[in-house]
Amino acid sequence: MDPNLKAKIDQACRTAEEFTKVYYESVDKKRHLISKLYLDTGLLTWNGNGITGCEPIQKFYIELPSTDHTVVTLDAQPVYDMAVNGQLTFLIQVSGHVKYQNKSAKTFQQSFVVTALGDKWKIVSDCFRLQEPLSAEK
Amino acid sequence: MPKPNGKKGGGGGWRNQYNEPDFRSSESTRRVSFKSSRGGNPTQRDNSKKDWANSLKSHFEDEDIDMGSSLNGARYNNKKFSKGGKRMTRGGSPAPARGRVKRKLMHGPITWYSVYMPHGNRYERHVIEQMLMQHIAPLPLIPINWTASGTMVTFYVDDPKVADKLNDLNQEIQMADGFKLMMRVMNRMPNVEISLKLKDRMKLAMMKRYNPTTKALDLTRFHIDPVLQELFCALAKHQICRQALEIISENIRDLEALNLSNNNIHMLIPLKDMTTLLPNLKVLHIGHNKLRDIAQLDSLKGLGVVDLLLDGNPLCDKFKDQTAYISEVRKRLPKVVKLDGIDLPPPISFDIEDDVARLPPSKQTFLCCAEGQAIMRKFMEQYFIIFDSDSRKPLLQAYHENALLSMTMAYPYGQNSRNPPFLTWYATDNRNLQRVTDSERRAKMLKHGNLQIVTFLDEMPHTKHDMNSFTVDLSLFTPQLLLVTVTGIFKEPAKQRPPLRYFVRTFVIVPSGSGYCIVNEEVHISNATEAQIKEAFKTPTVEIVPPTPATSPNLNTSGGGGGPSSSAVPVPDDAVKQQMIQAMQRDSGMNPEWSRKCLEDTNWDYQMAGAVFTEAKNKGLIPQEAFV
Repeated sequence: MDPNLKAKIDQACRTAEEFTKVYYESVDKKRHLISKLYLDTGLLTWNGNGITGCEPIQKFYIELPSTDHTVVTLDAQPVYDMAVNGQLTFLIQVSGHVKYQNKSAKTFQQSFVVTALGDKWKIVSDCFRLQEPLSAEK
Repeated sequence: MPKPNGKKGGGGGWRNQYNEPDFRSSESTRRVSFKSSRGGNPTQRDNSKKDWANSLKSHFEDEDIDMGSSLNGARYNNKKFSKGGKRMTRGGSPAPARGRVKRKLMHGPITWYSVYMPHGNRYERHVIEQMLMQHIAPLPLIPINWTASGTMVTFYVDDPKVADKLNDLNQEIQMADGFKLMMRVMNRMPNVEISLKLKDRMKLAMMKRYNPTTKALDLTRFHIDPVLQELFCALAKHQICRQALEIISENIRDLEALNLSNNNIHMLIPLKDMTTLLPNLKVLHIGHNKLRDIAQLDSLKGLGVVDLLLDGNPLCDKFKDQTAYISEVRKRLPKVVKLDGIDLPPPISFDIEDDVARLPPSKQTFLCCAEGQAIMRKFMEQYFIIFDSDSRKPLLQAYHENALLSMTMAYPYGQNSRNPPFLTWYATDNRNLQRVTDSERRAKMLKHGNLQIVTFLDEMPHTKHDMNSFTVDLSLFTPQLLLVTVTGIFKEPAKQRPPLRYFVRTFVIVPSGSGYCIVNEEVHISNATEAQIKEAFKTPTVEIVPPTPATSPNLNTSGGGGGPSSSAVPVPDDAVKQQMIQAMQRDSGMNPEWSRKCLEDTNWDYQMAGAVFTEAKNKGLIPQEAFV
């Protein structure tokens, strides 16, 4: 394997580990800081509801019932160079369970695209889904 | 055996088991009793501590012999004994009025009673039942777990009054052949093992008792349900109650009302996880049980119940003051606004606390850009048609030559690897970075290149996706890339009991030639949850026409102008690619490296590559070195 690619894979994995720690810590305990993790034009897709931009995302999280996430699986890979104009970008996918206000746990999956902006990692896209049948989601 | 029990007056037939002198039996050695508990010598005391089974057995042996003389009648025998005189002094107990000492039934906190009928099995069940019913009327007889073993009949009753009455009836009912029915009643429950049969019956009974419109399950006096009556399924038994709760949680997780009244429940500990197992429960009726202390409600702490019924439990009588009662209930279950059918003034709380965990409603699809919809739908449709077909090899065209794919798997919350359906197949390639920590392995488990990817996908179990279950989120749509997350349900039809799975797949898709191809994909596989299983494959999918050779996921989006060849590219495996490179070399005059690059850039569309080459050459964009 191309050593360049291998280094990138390694970096993607380590960034993903760090990222998920920071991200879920923020969502569960430091919500007022959550928008700092997103690009100004970042997108959150929460169960099919799209929210664009730092401020609306911040507002969305403030209104969301309190959460307690447990990460079960984590996966990450570098996004193909050509697609992102060579900018260091990773695709991260997480699964686990989440409790809303200490109610029963629900299974969730979430995928992120994070990109390097200067010396900070920022979320370009954050796509969250609860594992539920569609009819129950109505 | 705690008490001198069963001192039936009719000592005529007592078997003389112990020959050591007894303080009451100086005259009549036949009156020796091994069941004495007071004043006796140490031997007797030890005997009194014999285990249940033994004493029970001996007890019946007594009866056995007694039976032999039953035709003479106890009274008659007793008379004979009265003459003996001595026995009247026994233990200071009053002389039996009728010459017969009744065994008194002891009552404990658990109001279940076993009824043993030695020789009961000599008669038809319905004959015995009829006899008993006649004698205990107007009380009803509902025998639970009726079993016959040898000549012995055993059953259980849940009512102390019935138990007392049956106890009194010992040797009072004469059968047609002169035999007087013997009855031993004891305050106890049997040991129960949770068998598959019991579980199935419980489910069956629950199905009948569930009202889906009101989301209410009525388990009132559950054990007398016709499908359960032959077994012992008492919710007073902890493991049965626990099992019931698990079944409900697995099958009717959105249950809102549960009635557990009249089940002789004396402890609520088995219900302690109810908050998690039945998160939507609003109404709980546990009236007419045997709860003695309000502290039992501690096990229900955290439950969002608004309507609680406790009436008919001994604990209610302990409160003289209604306000104290309400306050004790609300201390544990603050959301209760209706107690024992009476509306309470709503509790006053602080505004800061969110009343319910209100989540925004979900939507099936999100599109960051409306014009992406058509492309997305077509791409996904074609992709999954091929994915569900016999061979996934045509997907080679859907992946970029340098594409990356990885997979993770996990059981959904509440399921695990000890219970089917198993996710074993997916475990081997589970690139869960939480577990795979070695960077070599992390790199190795990433499938690299379309060939490796499609080889892997082709080995995956055969699938059939439920397209109606899909959710699609198109998060990014730029000229450079599309970011899509698809979730949904599929089954593995080749398996014997096709398991239902849930998948989440995130794709990074880039324009390629005249179509699109995948450069990154992360797959997550899980089992469908009970709720998902219920909804899966409900709507029959319209039979989609199988893909013709002209359909490929590398679809043409330039309105048909992208060259007719774009969709008719043969599957380029490595050998084919080599041939294509050679042909390109020959036709263009470029060296192998540049020929390869040109083909790669057009996703191995030969005609397209040719067109690109010609155009670039005419514009003078191709450096000289390409031809060296």
